[in-house]
Amino acid sequence: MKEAGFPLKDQAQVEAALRELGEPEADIEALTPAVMALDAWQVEASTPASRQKLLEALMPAMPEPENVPSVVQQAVARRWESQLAQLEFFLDVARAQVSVLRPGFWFFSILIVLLGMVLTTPEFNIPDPVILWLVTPVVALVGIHYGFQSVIHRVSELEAAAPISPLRLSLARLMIVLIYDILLLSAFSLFLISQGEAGGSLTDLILHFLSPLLLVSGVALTCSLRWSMRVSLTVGYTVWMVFVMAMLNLVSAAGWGTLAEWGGMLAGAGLLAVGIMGQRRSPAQML
Amino acid sequence: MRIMNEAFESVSDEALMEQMCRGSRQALAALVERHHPPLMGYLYRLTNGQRELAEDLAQETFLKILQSAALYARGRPFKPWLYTIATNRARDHFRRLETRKTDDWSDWIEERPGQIDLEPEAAFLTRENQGRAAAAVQQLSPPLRAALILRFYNDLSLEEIAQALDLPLGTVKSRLSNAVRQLQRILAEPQEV
Repeated sequence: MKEAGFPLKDQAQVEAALRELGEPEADIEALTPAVMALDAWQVEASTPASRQKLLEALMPAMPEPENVPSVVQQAVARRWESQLAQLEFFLDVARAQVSVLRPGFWFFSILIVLLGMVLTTPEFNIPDPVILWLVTPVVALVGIHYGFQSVIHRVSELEAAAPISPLRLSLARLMIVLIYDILLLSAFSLFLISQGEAGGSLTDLILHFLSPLLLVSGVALTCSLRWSMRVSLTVGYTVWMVFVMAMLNLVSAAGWGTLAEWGGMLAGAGLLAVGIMGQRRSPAQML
Repeated sequence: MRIMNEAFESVSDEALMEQMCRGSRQALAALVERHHPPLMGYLYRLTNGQRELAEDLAQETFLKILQSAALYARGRPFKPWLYTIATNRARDHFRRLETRKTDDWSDWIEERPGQIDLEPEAAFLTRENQGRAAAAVQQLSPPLRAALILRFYNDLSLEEIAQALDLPLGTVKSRLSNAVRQLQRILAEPQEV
């Protein structure tokens, strides 16, 4: 039986390994016994029988000599691999992330938009931009909650153990959430226009929902780097409420409403970038 | 039965991989003979002592290598690639488990301690020390545990770990530093009787 043991044979080797990590000299003496203690956990994990069994299982998958790709085929394959691998890999990651998103994300987002449709009925008499300002932040919060709840559940620790970086995972997940939300809200905007009551063009309506979508998502995601998801979502919504109040009472009066929405959208995009970049470090921070 | 032909002992992993790509079964056998023990050690420790799971993951890893043989880039360092695939297999397994059964895979981790199968013939003190070391490693989070095992049990260089886990070298160092410090703290805690 072969042992998968502890390869550092003496204290000097362990100290050298710690030094390689950049540990201060003062700490090395204290840390060395902890590393040396690992030696106690020896694993007898592989036997000739287990390797033989493995080989027997592998042999059917072994390429037959006649099926082995030629040198040219291998070169073409490698070239395709280098060009497509990154894209393919990212799409694989995105596809995996779709399966990670729970049904609640898809369901509640649609439900909120359907509730928004109820608000368009004449009984409520709410202007379309205000409906979008009410509905979109909630859709954004649902997206951030479900898309990034791994931060709560510490799934990202698992993700960080994998070669796929947390940054790429977060990007893929954010891409799915935003694309879904934008499609949903675009459909809602078209619905508003079809009702013939929209207070502007489709472009105006897109601005009305993009601004809260990005701002609320950006604030919540950035806050989640330091605080719990619940607090972050609350802060995201509160910031948006303050933003709307300020816009309605101060900025719009001066005719700067559109400019303020553009500002909110750009600020949100910036915060999203900060939030996503921060996700690459968040697993370590959670330790 | 001696599986590996002595002629292969001095051949590099990369050369064996290329021979295997050309259909050499002896090269595959040599790779298995050389890398199965440390790979099993890695997966066994990463999965907190689940031998059957580690064996399944090791088999999946070698199968994946066979399936990717046609795309193997000549001269690509074999060992980091092997551990990249193995870590991915483990992650995928945990993710499937997490999606199917639980809301939080950290619950799963906490169930594992105590399932480490210690050798019955080992002396009590040895077993106790072994149990302490195993329990301490289990308490580390998966990213730290993976880096720690690769460095201190599997003897991968920092650069190889960076390649295997697709991390910048600085992140590997800080992860290992965190792991060692947490390990020291855990081992310093008084043992429960």
